[in-house]
Amino acid sequence: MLNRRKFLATSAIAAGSLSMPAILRAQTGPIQIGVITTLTGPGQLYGQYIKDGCELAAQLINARGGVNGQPIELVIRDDRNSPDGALAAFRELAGSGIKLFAQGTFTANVMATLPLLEENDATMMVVGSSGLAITHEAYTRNMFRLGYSAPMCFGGYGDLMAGKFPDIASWTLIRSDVRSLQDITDAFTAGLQNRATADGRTVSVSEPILVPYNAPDFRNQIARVANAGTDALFNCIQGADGISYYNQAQSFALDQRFRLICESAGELAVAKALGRDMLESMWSWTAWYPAGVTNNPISDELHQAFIALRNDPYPNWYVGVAHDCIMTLATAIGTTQSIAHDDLIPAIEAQSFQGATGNVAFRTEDHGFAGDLTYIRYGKDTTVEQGWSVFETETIDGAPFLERATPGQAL
Amino acid sequence: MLLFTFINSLTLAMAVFLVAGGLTLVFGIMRILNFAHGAFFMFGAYLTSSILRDSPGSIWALIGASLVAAAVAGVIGLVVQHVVLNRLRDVDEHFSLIATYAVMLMSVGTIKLIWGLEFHSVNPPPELRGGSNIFGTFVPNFSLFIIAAGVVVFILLDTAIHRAWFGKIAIAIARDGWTSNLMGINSTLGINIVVAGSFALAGLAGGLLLPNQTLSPSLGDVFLLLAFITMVIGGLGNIRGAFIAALLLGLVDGFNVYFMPDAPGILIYVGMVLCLLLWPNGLLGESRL
Repeated sequence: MLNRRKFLATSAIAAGSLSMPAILRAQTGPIQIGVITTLTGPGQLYGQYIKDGCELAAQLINARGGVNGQPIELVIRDDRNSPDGALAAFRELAGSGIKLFAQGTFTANVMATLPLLEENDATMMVVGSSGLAITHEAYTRNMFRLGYSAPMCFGGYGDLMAGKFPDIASWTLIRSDVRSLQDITDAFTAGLQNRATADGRTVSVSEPILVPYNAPDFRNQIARVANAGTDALFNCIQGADGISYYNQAQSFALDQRFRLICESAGELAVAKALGRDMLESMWSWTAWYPAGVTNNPISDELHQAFIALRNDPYPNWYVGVAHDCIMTLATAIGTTQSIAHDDLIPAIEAQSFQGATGNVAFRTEDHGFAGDLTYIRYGKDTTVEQGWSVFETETIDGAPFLERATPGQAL
Repeated sequence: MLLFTFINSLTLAMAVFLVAGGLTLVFGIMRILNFAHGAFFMFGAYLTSSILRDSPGSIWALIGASLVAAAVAGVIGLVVQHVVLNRLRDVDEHFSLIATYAVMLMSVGTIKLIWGLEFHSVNPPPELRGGSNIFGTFVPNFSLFIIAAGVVVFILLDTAIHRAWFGKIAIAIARDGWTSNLMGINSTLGINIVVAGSFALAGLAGGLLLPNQTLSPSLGDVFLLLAFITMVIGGLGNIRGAFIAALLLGLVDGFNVYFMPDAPGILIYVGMVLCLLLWPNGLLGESRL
């Protein structure tokens, strides 16, 4: 029977628990992280990689005992490849009390949720999205981008190629007629020319040859590439278009016409699709190539878990990046014992740890990723059944190539 | 470079016609804009790749596997006709649009379940891997194959529809099914055969164009839009119109690449708008086959 004493005691407990910091309330169950990614339509392939990476991260962290004894539970939602879909997913998850998020793939979808983070006391890891706006005009302190901005990733790429191949004096560029890819070719060109200038050389880079996005035929543009007469070629046609481009270029023997071929970000997807008809040799950026990583047990553990999950020894880089996003949140929660954004943000800004992709750290000013950059050289290899191999890996520090921080303003 | 651009324009034109042919056929007989056509094109490509693995041993292996894919697509098309399209014959066209869109979503979902999301590619057969020298211009052999395939399919279709007895029966059914029935023609059977043929053409196009493309769940979208444009410009349901429109589309795209390389793909849409303003019913007018 409820008497005055019991009523007062119950009320005091209820009021006390409501006023407790997030840390204590969180201890009552698993730590929930909302994962918003593209699981339908174009981009589904990458969304699936993100889902795999997040799930494997949660699985591995939980197998080690969780975070401060609490397991991680992922609540995964499809953004339906649209900003509206992302917004609906975020509102649903935030409405159910979730404060921690990981979101990718496409920048436009991420941009839809960024303005809502602060009012929902949320902390978000952006998985892979590379648009500059995320850390510039649309910047919010509640977001950390574990992705590769074009100036860092492809500026570093150009710098590496110019330094590694000083005898290459002329380049041809080809790209899809898409704004984000223009950022990539601009950054690559700047990286090449800055390094060449610093070394006292000059490098000529052609205006990019443009191909329509999502087109069935690229041969007209391939013929222009084949007749360009330069030393090197930089291909910036991504996704299925990129594979079709290489497919249709086979009869033009591009690898016989250029001394050096660089692929922007097709990495192992190109080799896996072309198989025995892979080009002789070319470079590509990748965020995670586990076979090329040494002395990194986190990478090894994730790689083995991915093989067990998908029976595929060559995971896409998104898997590693998604894993590191969850690990970033878990590490910060472990340090602060809180899921409140006011506690987590300074912790993530301060922390630097070894993830699957290498050193994971963020620039304090705009929360841009300032970790390692990885590039691979791969090509045809008739001695192995799959018909291709990775020949060498280069890892460089990405921080020197990061663009100027202008949080809240366009670059 | 000009000759190469011209030949490549023909390649694109015939690739698009291969897809647009079946789309035109089904519109001609049933007045349905079949959104699922791209999915069946993709199904044909995936099925052919499963038969051929990484690379066809010869050009005949590619054609044979494509014909098998066409047959399977035709049979599935019959099922779609029986289960979905046949029930929508007497209702507003908007319902059939929604229904074929639903069939497309289901087909793409099934393809994803069977073949997964990863990109794959299949190489051309050995005879078609290199190139030929035509008046001093290097032309990929596979381009010549696509041009030949498009022309052959057009001749076969045009002959079947306008010369053969069964084509004339199909035209009669398309134009007045009720009177055809009175004349003792089994119009339901005729429609079923034409619809199956349309789906089979989608599967055949997928197989024949396979070494040219990347297998991915968005493959159908790449061609479907261009095939719709072709059908609209040529005149809905008009095979000859579709062929001429495909040629125009290819040539306009080639002109675009040659003279306006900094704005790729834009002239196709400008051309479509102009064509619709000048010939609202298409170049050869709307037709029931």
